[in-house]
Amino acid sequence: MAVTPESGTAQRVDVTPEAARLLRRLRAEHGPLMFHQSGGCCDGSSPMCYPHGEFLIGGADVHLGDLDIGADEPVDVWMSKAQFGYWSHTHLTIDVVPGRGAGFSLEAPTGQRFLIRSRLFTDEEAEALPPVQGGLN
Amino acid sequence: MRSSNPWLAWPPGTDRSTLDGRLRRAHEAFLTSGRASPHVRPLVLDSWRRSLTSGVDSDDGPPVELGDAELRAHRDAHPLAAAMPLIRRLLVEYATDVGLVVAVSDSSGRLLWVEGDRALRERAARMHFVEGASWDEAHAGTNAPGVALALDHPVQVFAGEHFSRVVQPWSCSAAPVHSPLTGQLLGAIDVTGGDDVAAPSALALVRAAASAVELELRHALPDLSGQAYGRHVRLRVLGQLRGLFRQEGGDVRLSLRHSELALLLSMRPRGVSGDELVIALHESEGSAVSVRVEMSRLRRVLPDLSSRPYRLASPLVTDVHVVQERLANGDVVGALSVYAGPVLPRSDAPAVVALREDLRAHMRAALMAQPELAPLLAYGRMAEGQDDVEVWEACLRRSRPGAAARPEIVARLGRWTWSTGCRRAETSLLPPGTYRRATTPPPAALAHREDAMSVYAPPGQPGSPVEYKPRYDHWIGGDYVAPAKGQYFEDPSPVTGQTFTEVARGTAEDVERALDAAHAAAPAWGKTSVAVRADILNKIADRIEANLEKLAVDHFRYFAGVLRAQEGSISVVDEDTIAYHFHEPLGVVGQIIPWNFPMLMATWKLAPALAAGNAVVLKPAEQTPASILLLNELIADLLPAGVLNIVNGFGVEAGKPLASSNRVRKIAFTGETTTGRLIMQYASQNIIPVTLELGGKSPNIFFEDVARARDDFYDKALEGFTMFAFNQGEVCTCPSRALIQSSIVDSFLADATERTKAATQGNPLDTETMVGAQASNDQVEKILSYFEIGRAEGARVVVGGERAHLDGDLAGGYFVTPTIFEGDNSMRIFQEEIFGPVVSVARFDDFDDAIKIANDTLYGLGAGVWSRDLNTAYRAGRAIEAGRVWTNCYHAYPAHAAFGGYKGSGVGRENHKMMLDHYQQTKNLLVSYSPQKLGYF
Repeated sequence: MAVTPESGTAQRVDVTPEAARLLRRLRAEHGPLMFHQSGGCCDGSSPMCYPHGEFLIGGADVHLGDLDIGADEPVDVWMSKAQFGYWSHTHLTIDVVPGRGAGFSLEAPTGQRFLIRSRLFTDEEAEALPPVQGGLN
Repeated sequence: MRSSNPWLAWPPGTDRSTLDGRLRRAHEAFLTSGRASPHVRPLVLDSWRRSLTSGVDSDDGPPVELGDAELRAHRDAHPLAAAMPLIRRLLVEYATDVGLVVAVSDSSGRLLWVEGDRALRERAARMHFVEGASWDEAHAGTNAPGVALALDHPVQVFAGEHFSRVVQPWSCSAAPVHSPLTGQLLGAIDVTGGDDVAAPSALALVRAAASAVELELRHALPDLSGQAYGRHVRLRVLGQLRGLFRQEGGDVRLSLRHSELALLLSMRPRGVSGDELVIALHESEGSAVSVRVEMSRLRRVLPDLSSRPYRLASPLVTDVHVVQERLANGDVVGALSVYAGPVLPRSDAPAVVALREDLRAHMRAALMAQPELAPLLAYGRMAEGQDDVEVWEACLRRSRPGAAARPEIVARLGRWTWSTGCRRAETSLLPPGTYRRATTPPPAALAHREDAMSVYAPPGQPGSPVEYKPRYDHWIGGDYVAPAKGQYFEDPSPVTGQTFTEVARGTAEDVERALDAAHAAAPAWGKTSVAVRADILNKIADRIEANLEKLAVDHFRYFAGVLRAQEGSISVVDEDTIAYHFHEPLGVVGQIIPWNFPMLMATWKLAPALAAGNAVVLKPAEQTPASILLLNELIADLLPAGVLNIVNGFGVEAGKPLASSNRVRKIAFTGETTTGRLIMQYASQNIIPVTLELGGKSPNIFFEDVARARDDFYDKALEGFTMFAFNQGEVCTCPSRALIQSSIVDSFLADATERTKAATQGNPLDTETMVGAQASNDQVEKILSYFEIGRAEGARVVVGGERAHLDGDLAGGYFVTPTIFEGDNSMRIFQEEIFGPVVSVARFDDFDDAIKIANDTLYGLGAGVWSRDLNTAYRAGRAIEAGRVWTNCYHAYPAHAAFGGYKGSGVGRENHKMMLDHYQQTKNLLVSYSPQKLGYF
């Protein structure tokens, strides 16, 4: 499943069909959604899924891309700018695995957890990447 | 006149013609009108009825089912083949002499061998009494082997008692034969001939022969009592998530459903109907069909599976049989050696669950009844015995003081409740300076332990640590309160995957109720004298010490102590103006607990909050609620109602309403950065303080002087390196970046790699184990995803880098091999908390380089510095931007040392007296003692 196409440019984030299916289910229950990639302890390094607007995005965050999950609106994916400094060279795919508990992320009660899978950008992709935009202060 | 023995055909004192005549009339009457004659033995009448129901033709012999080739194959495979030489010696030789036929059938009544007098055999062949024919009741009607198999008892059938008229010229006596090892019905031995065979002595003869055969089989059959049983066991289900089936060409793993079916068939040698299987498996709609489909698939593995009822022609020996057999023979040790774990632990088919529980109960009872320590100890170390406090208490009673296993037993008893329900053994949180689990308690502790044993409350009583309840509600206002929405979630053990309790699934309504209770309790609790509160904290400590483990104890005692010593202050502003500073509790606080050390993390937060006089609403992690609930149960009566409230549930459903409530005066959270930010966001709306502990990527720095000598210090430093695998790396402060000075990196890393390889990986609840299993499937997936990106970025795998596959009941466990990467600090494996036993090694050239790399991270929770030069160590410790710098040690967490993060690792501290301040308001009374006006107005 592809992210929102911006023709001729490479994408930083993608979503597996399984994760997209779960996202559609969560969207039906909670409305439009967003992701913020976490770091740190316990459930860290997990992408956290919230009702759109629940998590206040600001200038300390960057917008990695929008996931097309087959809903009316895309799911936007964010990460803190500081963390992006260490992650910027990798392509991220949001996947889902059986599991329990992830902070306040919406999928926790479903017995599934979103998981980030990463790979290095190819040279061609790296050339074609659009610059990331920060959130509003 | 009837014989008192119903199994004998010929009543004493009755002549043949009288008996014959009566039976002929009775048979006629039964067939024409269904009338039951008092002259026919009830067991024969019952057999006639069954024969009639089965549609047996009363004028014909039974079908011949097995062709020659099938017959030969079936005979060769049949366990009774081993007894045929004996049967020939005992019966056939004699039968040939006196004019009898001897037949041996399988458990389905199919005749496998028919031997004896040749002329008689030819006559018998006319009624299809031949090898390969089915002489069970359902095919042949009432006859001795058929009835003997149906009733599982030796029996004789006299001429006119046969259901089919073609058999009525004959009499026969037959006895069933069982496996002496498993008790399974193997078949029947039958003697057929004229009237003599209906004499009492003939029944005695076949009974004696059957007994002799069973004895013979004890030697000839698989010897399940010795070590060599293995090759006879064709299906293993103990501790197996799915059955392991042995067949020619190698073992195959059956599906869970096939495992269940094969096991049930092996347990029911006489067969089981499709409907019974449906019930045994608890299938719902369309189930009879699906059972039939599965059975036909199963036939590929078990070709001798016949239907209506489903049954196996030859016994299928499973490891359950071996255990049952050995237990029946009193060989408890032998039984335990085969008992690799519960029967198909993943199965929830009622019949399998019942068998699992039955076997578990028998195993445990037999072990508790035998007098030796060793087998009980071995059982206690197994997954299902780990948390069985009665077993460990029995071990303690059986161990002499000074016995080798004694320290382990005492340690287990001291810790067991900590381990249960946690995702790992919390036992691994070590006293300072030790890596291997300290298992030798001081003698005083040992004595105390034994004293404490006698005060355990029985299971189910308040304060009892003995077992978990099947279900936990919320704990609100000093009582268990069911969730408002009535929902519960399962709490599975990470060791077996089995749900051991279920827990209330809380929502905003439950949080509100807990806040009501906390607000009701907070004013009075906050006004209790510090002496009273300190006393309660000490009592909590005593209660935990008597039942659980010491680590939490010290935190309660520490805060009981510092509370008494805490003083406000007086500032003399001027001669007549004094500023008084008082400590006041905040009121009601919220606490959200992580899963990696559920009880210790709860204690870190609870002890200071309660000491300071706050009422608490606490939400345990949804991965690990049970141990906190157990702790609460233990101490519940010590705290006034409403002072401690526990709301269980998922983060989004229960944690979020708590964190965003405008009715808490503070929120404390341990977890990760995004949730930390969200909690701050909610707190900003309510203008309340937060403390956050959000993890780290802690550097562990080894300066070159560490390797100046190969002495104890060097050894300690190597252990310090290996601490990355402590608690499987599931520690916020995991020293996951090792920075080693270039001049020593090759030799030091080689030695550290050896030390890492030597780490014992295994059952997390075994005290010999250094590295256990990861918490969950999703954690393993995350770690493996980091192995991928680490390799892709060009990091070198020094050791590990893969999932570990352990044997036995740990085969399905979430194990990851302790892993060392070597690479560059800019790589993602150097920048993200992997939460697994993974360390990333980078080299540095000099002091400045070391500090630059150490601080090149988003986090600042922990760090390690290793140097013999105290100037170097001191300067490094001060230069590193982290809240805790372990210097020449690592992973020690005393209550008296402040713990918390710089940078992205969070806000605030835990432990240390300063924690009281984090849970207190400061009240300042600014008092003027001057009677004089200021003169302004």
